Amino acid sequence: MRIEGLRVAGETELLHGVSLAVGAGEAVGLVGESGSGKSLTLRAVMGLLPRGLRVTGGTVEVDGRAAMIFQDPLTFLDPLVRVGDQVAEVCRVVAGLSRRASRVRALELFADVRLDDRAVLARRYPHQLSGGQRQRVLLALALAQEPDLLLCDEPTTALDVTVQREVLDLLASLRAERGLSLVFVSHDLAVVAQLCDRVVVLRDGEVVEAGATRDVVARPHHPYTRRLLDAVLPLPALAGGRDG
Amino acid sequence: MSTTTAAVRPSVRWLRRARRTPALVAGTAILVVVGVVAVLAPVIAPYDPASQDLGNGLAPPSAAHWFGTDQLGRDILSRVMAAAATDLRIAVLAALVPLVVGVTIGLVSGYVGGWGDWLIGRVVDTFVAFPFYVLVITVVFAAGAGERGIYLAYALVGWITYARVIRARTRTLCREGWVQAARGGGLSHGRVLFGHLLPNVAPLAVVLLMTEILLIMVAVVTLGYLGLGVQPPTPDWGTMISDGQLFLTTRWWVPTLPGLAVVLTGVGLSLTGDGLADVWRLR
Amino acid sequence: MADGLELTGVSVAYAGRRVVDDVSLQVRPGTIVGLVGESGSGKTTLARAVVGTVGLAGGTVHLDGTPLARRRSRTERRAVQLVQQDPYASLNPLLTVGRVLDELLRVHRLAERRIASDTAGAPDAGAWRRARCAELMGLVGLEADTLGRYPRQLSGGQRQRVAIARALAVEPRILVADEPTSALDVTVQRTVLDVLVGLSARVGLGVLLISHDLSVIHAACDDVAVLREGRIVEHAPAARFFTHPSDPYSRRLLQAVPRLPERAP
Repeated sequence: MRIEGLRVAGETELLHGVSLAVGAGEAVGLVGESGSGKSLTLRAVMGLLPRGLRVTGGTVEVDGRAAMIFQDPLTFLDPLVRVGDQVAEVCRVVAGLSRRASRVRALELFADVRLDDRAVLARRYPHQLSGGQRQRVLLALALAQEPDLLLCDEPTTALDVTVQREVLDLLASLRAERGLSLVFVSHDLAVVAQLCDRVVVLRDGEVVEAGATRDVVARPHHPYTRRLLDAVLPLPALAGGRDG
Repeated sequence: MSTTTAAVRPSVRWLRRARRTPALVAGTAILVVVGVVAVLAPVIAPYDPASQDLGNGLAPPSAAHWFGTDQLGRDILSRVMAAAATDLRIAVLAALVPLVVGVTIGLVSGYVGGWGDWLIGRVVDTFVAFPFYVLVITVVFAAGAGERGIYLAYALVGWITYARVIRARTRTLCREGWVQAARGGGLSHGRVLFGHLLPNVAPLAVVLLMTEILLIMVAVVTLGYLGLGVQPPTPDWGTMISDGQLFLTTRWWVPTLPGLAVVLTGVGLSLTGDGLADVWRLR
Repeated sequence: MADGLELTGVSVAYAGRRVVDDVSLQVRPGTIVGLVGESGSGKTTLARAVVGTVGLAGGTVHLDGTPLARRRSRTERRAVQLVQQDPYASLNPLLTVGRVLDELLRVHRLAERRIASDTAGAPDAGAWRRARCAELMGLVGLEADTLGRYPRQLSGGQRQRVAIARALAVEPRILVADEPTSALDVTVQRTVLDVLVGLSARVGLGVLLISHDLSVIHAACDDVAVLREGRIVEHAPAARFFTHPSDPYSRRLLQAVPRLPERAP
């Protein structure tokens, strides 16, 4: 995916020429505080801009298919349809599978996103699932579209730390298994650092810094990046290592 | 308290937004015109609304009688003006008691919750189950036709709308942190209810008031039309329409012009209500 | 019993299920105790039990050695104040910051009490309240001109500090802060935490800081309690907890926290 000088405006301009490139199989983090335009960038790529906003300049190129997952899965799941059927429906439409084959495929996808008790969970409605399970279902829904690029909009922000860790590990292994490219939006530099090789720092609709995560974290150039890094509250190292 | 801040008072911001809301500007303009005409009717009306000129009945609009004359030769323009005073006065006065009662009941019931809220909810449901006009006409029949009956009828049924809407809004607000913080800070129930919650639901009540005045005005006109409202010889749009309908095909202006006055006032009230809802961001 | 807040065997039940189960905890004046837990651990319910908005199914809450009644008096409510998570819903949109603080000072007649106990050249109540409002702003690191502002003119971090100032206005002994930073931008979190740390040291306030975020707890707390499914599984001084947690669940929590790679000095 390549974004070149992307501008988005409503009454005022919100993105002032954002450029970003994601290579095949690469994971790029998009970091910034609320109002920085990080989610807006993803939505512009998917053509999901909120009403009243439009792209006023720049280009977006996506090689292959893109799918997206969101912070609050509940708003993107149909409350009245069993989650298994929701995933199966996407398989049917995207891959042209039969009803029976799409059911089987949905269960395979549930396995891919490491959902336990798949047969039981598939028959549940979204409100009967935990936050972590919903996020996995949403991920299965995204994978059902057989994407080459996965856009993630704060997918772990609403989750507990232990569940967040599981979802992050899952995303990393999916990326390795399928050669998925990832764009991961978060306000939390530490989360992004876990997952992404490169990081792009956004502020008020502009890219202030971009580079390899390791370099940006070790030697931030822009004062705003430094402020974001300082804001990450440190924890002392755990005695006995961090296996787990 | 410091006054050096650039803080814009809400009243100022409110006025700025109000001026940019066409519905509100148009609505209040209409209401101001209708209101001024109603108040000044005795002064500006060209004729005495009650004076008859039997030789000049059912005259078409002319330079002498802009709206023509009715079957008794009375000047229709003067009667429409005088009726504006009657009908608006009744509508506004009849709306006041339900406003106060309904808002109070809604606030208290939404705030207290529990069985008191449940009880009020059932009373409201019972009233809502009856068609509105059936209730009003029954009360007017029992209390006697005329102004008194109308006031009584509305005092009895008019609070329902406010109580329902204000109760729902209050319940939502009570879940907000600031209401809980006010209680947690040691403020009394009365202070939280009337010092904090009331100002927050007041805009909603005012918008409802506009709709209610409109509804009552139409009801007064309807009752007048049915002969249950304002009694002759006091001029009233309803009786004028009812008396004039015999001549609708041959002398259209006799019932139509009072009808248009009702429509104009109605549009004014409804635009004002809509405009206020926009300015206060109630939707 | 000692000074401060003391929970002994506190339980809270909803629909027959114990959401908080046999919790014992102390918050001494001038210290900050962190309460960590994931969603569903019962931490918000515990906060409500402490400020008295839900009843106990068992156990007692003592403040400075005196048990708090089931229905708390106005003084008892004043003594334990809550700072809520969402700063956008916690301020009345129609009142300026100054009006909110001033009302609390007036209702509790704090100016009159203070002046009565103060023999030397007492100012009038209005002047005292104005000075106190400015002082409260100073305590939470806001400019005095914030008093003239309406909530919508303030940022999330400023609102949260106003909420803390409002809690302080009634001169509480204990402050319960329920996820006070989780609705805020990362760069603002620290300012709010610094305010809490400064207050506990300067005013001698006891703070119960509830958070799901271990790094928030680490930045502010002297003691840590870990809540899991309504029970406290570990209660330890922060200095030991973060490096040598004794409970396996605490350890799992600490391991799950994403950390930054090493930074150049």
